[in-house]
Amino acid sequence: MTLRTFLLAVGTAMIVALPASAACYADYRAQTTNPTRFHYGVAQISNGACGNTGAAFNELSGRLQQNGWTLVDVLSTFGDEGLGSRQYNAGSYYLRF
Amino acid sequence: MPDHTTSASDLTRVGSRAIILGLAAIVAILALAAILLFVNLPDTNAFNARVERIFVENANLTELAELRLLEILAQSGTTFSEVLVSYRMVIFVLLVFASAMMITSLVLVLALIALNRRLAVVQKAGIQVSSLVISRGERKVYINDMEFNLTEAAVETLAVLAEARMDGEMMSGTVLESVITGRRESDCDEAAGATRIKRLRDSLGNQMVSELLVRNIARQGYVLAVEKDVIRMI
Repeated sequence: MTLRTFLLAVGTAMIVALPASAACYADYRAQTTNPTRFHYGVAQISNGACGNTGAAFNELSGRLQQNGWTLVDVLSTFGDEGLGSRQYNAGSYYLRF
Repeated sequence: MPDHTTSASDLTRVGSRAIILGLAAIVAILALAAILLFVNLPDTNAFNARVERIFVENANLTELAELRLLEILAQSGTTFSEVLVSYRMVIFVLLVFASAMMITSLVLVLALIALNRRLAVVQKAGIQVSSLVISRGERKVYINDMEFNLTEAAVETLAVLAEARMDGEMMSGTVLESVITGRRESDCDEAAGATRIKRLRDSLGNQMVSELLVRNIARQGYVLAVEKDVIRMI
């Protein structure tokens, strides 16, 4: 009985988690002044901000600020399918923040 | 009617005011130049700001290599700004030197003008006695380091005259004779004093002319001790 309940719970969790794994990402550009540094990066954002660069900007700017970077702009948001083509340019900032 | 007179003290006052104005002008001009230079020198961060603007304005700058290149550009800008700081220091030091040189040259030029003016006065005045040393023991008198030999009576006359000059007094022939001989004034003759003056003038004048004008060069002859180009015949 308990085992069944447990399996059911696990199954339900997996079903709920599945759409979450179809995650949302944004590519952005950030800079620091003094010393002047630039980077292009890819970061995961909450699903709520998907398709809305303004919301993604608000979400990312706080995260980058904590690491000393100033967010310049969010270029686009995309799903898992867009990751591969952006990995090279993002370099070490690929899913870092 | 107002009188248009200038005195020597007026002239020196005008001169010192000119010096002060000149110095103030030099300092003001160089200070202005310094301020303009420092204002016009590009801001040390200008280069970095430009590079950042390029990055912000061009959204398609996402390639890794492009961003590295931009960073290198910004780094060279930082290096340039460090160089600029040292340039500023150098420029400032040079400006200070320049103002010091300008002030020195102005003061020197003014001193030269004053010296020239004084020299012209001296040249017109002929012989100007700047030192008169009377040596009674040697019976000699030194005028401006020129040495003249006098008779004992002439040295005595000159010494008495010199003492009277130092006291700011005038001497009549009678007083002169009375001081030299030690007799009372009532017993002295005006003509005797005048004779002493005449002998002193003859002796000293003769020697001065031979020293200053008509030179006698031993075994060669006589020559006028003046420059060729100052002689004119009318």
